[in-house]
Amino acid sequence: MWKSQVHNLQELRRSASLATKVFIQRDYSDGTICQFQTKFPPELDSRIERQLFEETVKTLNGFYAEAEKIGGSSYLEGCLACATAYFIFLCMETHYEKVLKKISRYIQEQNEKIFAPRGLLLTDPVERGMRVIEISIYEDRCSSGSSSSGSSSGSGSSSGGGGGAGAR
Amino acid sequence: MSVMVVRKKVTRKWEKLPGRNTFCCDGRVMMARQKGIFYLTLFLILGTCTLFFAFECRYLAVQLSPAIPVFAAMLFLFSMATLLRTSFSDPGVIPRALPDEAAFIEMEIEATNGAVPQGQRPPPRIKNFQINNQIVKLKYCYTCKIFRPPRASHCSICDNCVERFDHHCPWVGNCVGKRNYRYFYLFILSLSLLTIYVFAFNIVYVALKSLKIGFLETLKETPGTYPPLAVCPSKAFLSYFPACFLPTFLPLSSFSDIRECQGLK
Repeated sequence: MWKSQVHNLQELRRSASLATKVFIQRDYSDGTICQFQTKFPPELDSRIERQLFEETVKTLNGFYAEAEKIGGSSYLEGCLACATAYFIFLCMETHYEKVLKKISRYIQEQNEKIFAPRGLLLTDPVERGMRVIEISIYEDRCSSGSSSSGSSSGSGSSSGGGGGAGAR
Repeated sequence: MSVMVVRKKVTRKWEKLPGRNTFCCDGRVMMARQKGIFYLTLFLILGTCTLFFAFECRYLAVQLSPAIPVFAAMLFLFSMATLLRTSFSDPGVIPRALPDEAAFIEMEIEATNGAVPQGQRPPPRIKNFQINNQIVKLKYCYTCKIFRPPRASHCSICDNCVERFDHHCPWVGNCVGKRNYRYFYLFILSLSLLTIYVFAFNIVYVALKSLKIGFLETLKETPGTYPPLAVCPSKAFLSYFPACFLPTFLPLSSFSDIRECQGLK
């Protein structure tokens, strides 16, 4: 099932053409921790509901905060790693790496459920050095529209021929 | 490094990295191009420690305690592990902006500064960000086409922007940045301890043997003591002590103080 959903995303890339990309920048208002701006970009106005977008970015911010959190377990992990001259990392993953995998699964899931049906694609910030969240906006080339696991209010791209007035 | 699958042909990300780095072991090892001094570091450490284990340890283990070579071996292994970890790991290289992102940033810059007429030098690209109620200027990197995050810097030797860039260390053959700073610090610390330890026990060995057979005889009998005696003090006092104090006390004094960060760039 997972493979067929990935296949759907790849089909989206093939059947649709890339119109433009939007970049969500880092939010430094709380310091240098990894947070992204939740400000809604105007280019996505007709594509996705503001609330869905903000929820996605807030969840991502929450995940990054969790990854960088220094608690008892990460302290113990650090001490154990230092004591074994970091050889232990050949066998186990760090807490940060575990959360990064969780984030990548979450983004994949969001892409399949929410963004792909609207002709959007989220790129994992890790691929861009945690500088931006890149959102690719696709325009439909063919009239059949993007294939997807059906979504309720598919605005914009589900009607054929260009991202015109996406009636909701 | 993760894998991008493109039509059954596996293209690794490190193959496409535009910086001046060399990669080994299928991308698991990442170093700068000039590795000569790194080999010298390896030679110095391995050489002095081998001589120490071969000559002094046999005598000291019998005369004093077998724990001496055991502890020396542990320190040696720890230093080597942290050295290799520092040299071979990614210091925190920021990937360059892809053409779409670079074009987007250019548009933003032109929108704020206005288009520059032909023939005039463009103004330095600086973006003001507010971090915790302080205005911090982020500089634009012309090579990587990004606004560098706070405390990131461009290494001209490796031609990469590195997060929390400390310096490019030729002894280690790599940049020292956010992702390998702890290994570098532990390497410096453990190597200082190892150096002091080896030097101290060299002195003890020479002293003990001189009591039995005289000082000149000792020096004649064991030429293996010369290299450690010569190399260790210079290593310890010239480089490691300053390198140890700086990372230990600087973060404690300037922790989360943005003014210090601005000064450190």
